[in-house]
Amino acid sequence: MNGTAIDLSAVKDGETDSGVVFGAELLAFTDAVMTRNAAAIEMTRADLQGKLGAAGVVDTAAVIAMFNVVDRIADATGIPIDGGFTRDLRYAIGNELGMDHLTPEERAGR
Amino acid sequence: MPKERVEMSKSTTGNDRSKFPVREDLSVAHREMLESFSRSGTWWTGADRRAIAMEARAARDCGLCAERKAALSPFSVDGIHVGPSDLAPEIVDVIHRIVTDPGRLARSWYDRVMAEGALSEERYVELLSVTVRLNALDVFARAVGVESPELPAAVPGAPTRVRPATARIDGAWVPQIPSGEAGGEEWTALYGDREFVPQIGRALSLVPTEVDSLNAVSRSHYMSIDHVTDPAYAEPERALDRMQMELVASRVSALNECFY
Repeated sequence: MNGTAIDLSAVKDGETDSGVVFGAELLAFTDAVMTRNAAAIEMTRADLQGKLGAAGVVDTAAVIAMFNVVDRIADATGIPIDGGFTRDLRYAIGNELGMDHLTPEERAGR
Repeated sequence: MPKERVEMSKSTTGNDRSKFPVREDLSVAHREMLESFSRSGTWWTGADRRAIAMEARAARDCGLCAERKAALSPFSVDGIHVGPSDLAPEIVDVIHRIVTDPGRLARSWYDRVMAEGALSEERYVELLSVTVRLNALDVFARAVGVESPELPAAVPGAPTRVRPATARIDGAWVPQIPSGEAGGEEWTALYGDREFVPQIGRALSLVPTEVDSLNAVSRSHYMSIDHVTDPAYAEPERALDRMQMELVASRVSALNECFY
């Protein structure tokens, strides 16, 4: 990407300053949509529009929609994590953040 | 199974009613998705696919699913799902679980679903594709402040029922077309001369047309699946840079309790 330092804690708690440009507005809107909070959607959408414009709102909505697709496909088909860099990175991030989501290995064993 | 309706209503995504101008490629993708839900697929009729989509839509407001989501184990709570229920109860249950608690689906659950016999591997994969794409359409509508689009009436027609001859268990719970020579022409037809395709791009390959559908969603909403593993890649003419997209993507996955 561009060498910017990112604080991944924001992914877990939704509140830490991620270091991503307009990250707070992106996370607030994402959380509002995911929790289906109509009032919060309206408020955070206006904030996001103020920073990234109407196209930014649309593109954020599209990414939220997309990851609701791929997360479910991955979980419901039991695909393994791709090998190499992706695998190392994914397990390292999970450990660092203390995220306790079931790994593919754990879900295969249940 | 639900009866097919003969008439075909004109599908509209509702994107034109949003205060936020929706890119043309997104609206095209949404129209294609909507219409695909009512057309026969590889293993389900148009009426079945439409019923699956309607059930997926209802799952978000299902009381039983909410109770299960709050329970320590999603398999400890019995009851009846709230929804149109035009499909067999076992199938309704699969749809609701995929929509409302995907992060706790387990291999033993999948094996039980297959053993029950209401779904074959192929029908499961196609049902999954319809379910998740309907959910995405509704999530997008909610985000841009429009009503969920109405589904067009089912189009008569028979499923093609073609299973890839090379499909086999290859790391996932569901069979996939294996990569390289083992996948032969079936691999080439889907993935060209690529030797490596990320697992997410292969997950639905038991029903190749659903891979095409997923690719269309990915291109318009995020990026081509070919580029996903290249951290430097960003689609041109998007309002979000790659860092911003990945931040949103990661937060969605965290909230979905998805490890991937």
